[in-house]
Amino acid sequence: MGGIAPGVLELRGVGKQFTRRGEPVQALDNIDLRVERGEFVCVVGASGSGKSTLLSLIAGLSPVSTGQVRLDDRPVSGPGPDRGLVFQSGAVYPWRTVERNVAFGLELLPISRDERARRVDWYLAETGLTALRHALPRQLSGGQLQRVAIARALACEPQVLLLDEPFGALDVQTKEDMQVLLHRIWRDTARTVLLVTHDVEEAVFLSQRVVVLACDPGRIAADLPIALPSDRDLAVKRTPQFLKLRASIEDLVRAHHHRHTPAE
Amino acid sequence: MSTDTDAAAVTTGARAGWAALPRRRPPRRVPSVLAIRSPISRRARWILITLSVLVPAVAWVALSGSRTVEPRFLPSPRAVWLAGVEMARSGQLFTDGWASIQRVLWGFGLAVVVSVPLGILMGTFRAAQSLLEPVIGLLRYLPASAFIPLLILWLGLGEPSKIAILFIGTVFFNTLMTADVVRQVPKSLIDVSYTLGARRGEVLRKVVVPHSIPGMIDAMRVNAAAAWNFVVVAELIAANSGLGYRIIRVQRFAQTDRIFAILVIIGLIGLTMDLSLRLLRDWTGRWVA
Amino acid sequence: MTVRLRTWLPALAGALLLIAPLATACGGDNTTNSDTGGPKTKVTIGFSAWPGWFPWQVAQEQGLFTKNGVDVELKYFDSYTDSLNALSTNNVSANSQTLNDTLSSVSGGAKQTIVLVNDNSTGNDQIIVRDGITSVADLKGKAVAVEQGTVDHYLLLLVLQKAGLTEKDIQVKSLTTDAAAAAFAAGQVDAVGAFAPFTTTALGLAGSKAIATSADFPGAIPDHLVFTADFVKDHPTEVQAVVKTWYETLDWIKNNKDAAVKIMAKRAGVSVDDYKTYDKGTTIFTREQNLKAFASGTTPANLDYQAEQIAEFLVSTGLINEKPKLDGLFEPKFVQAVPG
Repeated sequence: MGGIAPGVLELRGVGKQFTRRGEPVQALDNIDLRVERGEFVCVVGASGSGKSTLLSLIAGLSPVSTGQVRLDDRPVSGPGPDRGLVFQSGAVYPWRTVERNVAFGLELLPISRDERARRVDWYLAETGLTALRHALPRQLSGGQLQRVAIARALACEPQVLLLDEPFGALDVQTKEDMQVLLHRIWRDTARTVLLVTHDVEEAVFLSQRVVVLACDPGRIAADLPIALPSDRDLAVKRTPQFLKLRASIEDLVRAHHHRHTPAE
Repeated sequence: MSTDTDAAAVTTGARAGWAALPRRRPPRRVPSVLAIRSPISRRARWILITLSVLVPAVAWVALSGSRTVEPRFLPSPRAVWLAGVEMARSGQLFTDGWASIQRVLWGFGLAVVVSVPLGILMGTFRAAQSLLEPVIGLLRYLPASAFIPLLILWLGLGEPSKIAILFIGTVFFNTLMTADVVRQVPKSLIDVSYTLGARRGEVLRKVVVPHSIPGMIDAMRVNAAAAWNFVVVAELIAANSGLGYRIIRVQRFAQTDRIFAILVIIGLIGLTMDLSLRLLRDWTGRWVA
Repeated sequence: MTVRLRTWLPALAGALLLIAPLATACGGDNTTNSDTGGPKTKVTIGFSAWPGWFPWQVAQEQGLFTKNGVDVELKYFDSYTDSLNALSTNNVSANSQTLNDTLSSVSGGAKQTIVLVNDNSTGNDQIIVRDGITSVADLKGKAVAVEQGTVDHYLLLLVLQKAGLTEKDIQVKSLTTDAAAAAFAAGQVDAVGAFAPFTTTALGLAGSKAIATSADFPGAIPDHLVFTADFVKDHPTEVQAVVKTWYETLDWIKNNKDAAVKIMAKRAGVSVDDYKTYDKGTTIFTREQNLKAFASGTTPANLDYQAEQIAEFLVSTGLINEKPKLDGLFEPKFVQAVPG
């Protein structure tokens, strides 16, 4: 489709330090990462590995302690629609209908009402929400709310779409439906996507590359290409190739998680 | 896993010497009306509502009819009704009622105009909170009636000083309550707005305020009632009309039937205000989960 | 889910049980608590700021009540109107109030008995005006602060009537007397009706003066010790003791002038010098003057005649709605029984 081209995301030596109870804590240490134009990359790691912090830094919601985040070879600071973000909780505006939620980012721009309506319609259709356009969030299920969040972020044509464990709170069937949907959306809109998850199966299914994050401090432990056909359906999860990839990545995650747990 | 090995595991190892845990008798079944948080049938609800009005009313009729309490201290419902009718017929009830309503609308209205923006600022910006909370937290403890001599000095004996009492009595509480409501806006909502391209002012206007509206109306409901409590105090300052003024006047002659009638009117006016605000809240807050 | 009667009856009974004690707690005479011959009856006497009543403070501090065998609790009221309401709702056994205010209370249904004349106001009730107002006629259209319905409102109407004006010709601002005097001193109103010691506050405004006082209306403002009618009926011994104490107090004051003035000035919240200026304006009644006042007659010096006049005036000016019944209002026997 036309519109804003997807971007190249680059992290150079990114680190983040907090102080917890007076003690400095290194949440992320020396992260070097490059996501190519239109690539779908998943970041996996056990909880506590700093996955959410990483997204928060890229989105610009908190500042880096060291290093730089660059989009299309320009440094970023502060949040913006060029890096759309989807939270696990959805963060959908409860007083706005589905339609008006999706339109939120567009309302801020100097475009005509017709133009806005056209775009909102397209994204509603893309996420399967057309029938629900006049519903209020309190009437929606978890999966439907996430679809609204995705449509809303996408409507602003971000150069990078960031997703923070978007399907973590959903049941298995809904989660798989959403994975298929996200995959299709990615193929239709050709965005650069960075998705953070603790579900390795999900990461292998969706991405072209999986980055494993170690704990304490968070740093890149592995960066593995996913050599699966680019057009995937749920059946691929049962193929031996998929299962082998999944097993090896799960082992990696566990290996780097194990170092973090207290000795028994 | 077989249950045999489970059973064996219970009696061997570290827990071998433990006595069996005592079991308490299961509690008696409680009727749904008295169970915690359980919904009650529509019929039960209406019966309870009716009782809450009927029981005091019946008690009133019984007590005044049986002369258990001297009529001067507890006039009969009929006497109160007649007193009310007489005050209405002479027009006094309407002039008094309108005078008090106007004062409350002005005083509380001004308080809302001041407290809502201040509350929004305090709830949104930590700096505003640090700056304003100590002062407001202190001022809210000052009893409005203590301001009467000062207000007479600064504003004279007319309407402004009466309106000022109502303002002072409500503005601080409404500010703090509004700030609390605004502070409840989830941070994720604000963060996601920035990632959609909103600037600070737009986040305030399009996210913080709409989310806070139902809560702010609830705060207003509470403080509108407080404003009515102050009407009697406010009308101590050289008033010539008003429901509070009338109560003080009439008290001199121990006309308790009139006092009761005026109290009933105040209650009805307050109830109307509350209902209107509740309707407004429901209309603006249809989206609340 | 059906609703069982079993669950409702206890709730209903509980609700009624809650209301019953509330009803019996409010109202009722809480000052008469025993028959004669039982434990000593407590007498609560209310009073407020007035030179004719400050002697009660002296009586208490000198232990004169106990000397006469009566247990008295003196209650001082900052607001004169509050003291009037306290007596009419039987929250005190007795109060210090003017004749016109007693008539107002009685017209509202209170049953009260006057047993003593403390004094007559002969100048300590004043209408004070600011600089620029020279006569009563000048009050037309002006703002006058006064305590609604009580003695100085009454004096104001007397003063206006004498000058051919009515209340409709001025703007009345209702405030308690102390607030009224303060408002006048702050320049918020053109005139004020006040009694001593608040006259001192009001006259603090530069250029202010009194254009009319109670001295212009002799006999119009007698000040009394008033008991509830029931208390007089049930406890005549205590009433007699209180009246006897009054005269002993007056004797003590005569013999210990300086000490007495100190006590009374302190209660009034004014300096001793200011207090001495109130002397002429409040004429304390001797026993003889009391007897003459209680006697029946048709002159302003006779209380029953004065009460009739005042009652009619109160009704005609709208201060009260209906004329009070005057029988049984005055009881001279206690003053008569005090040794001469």
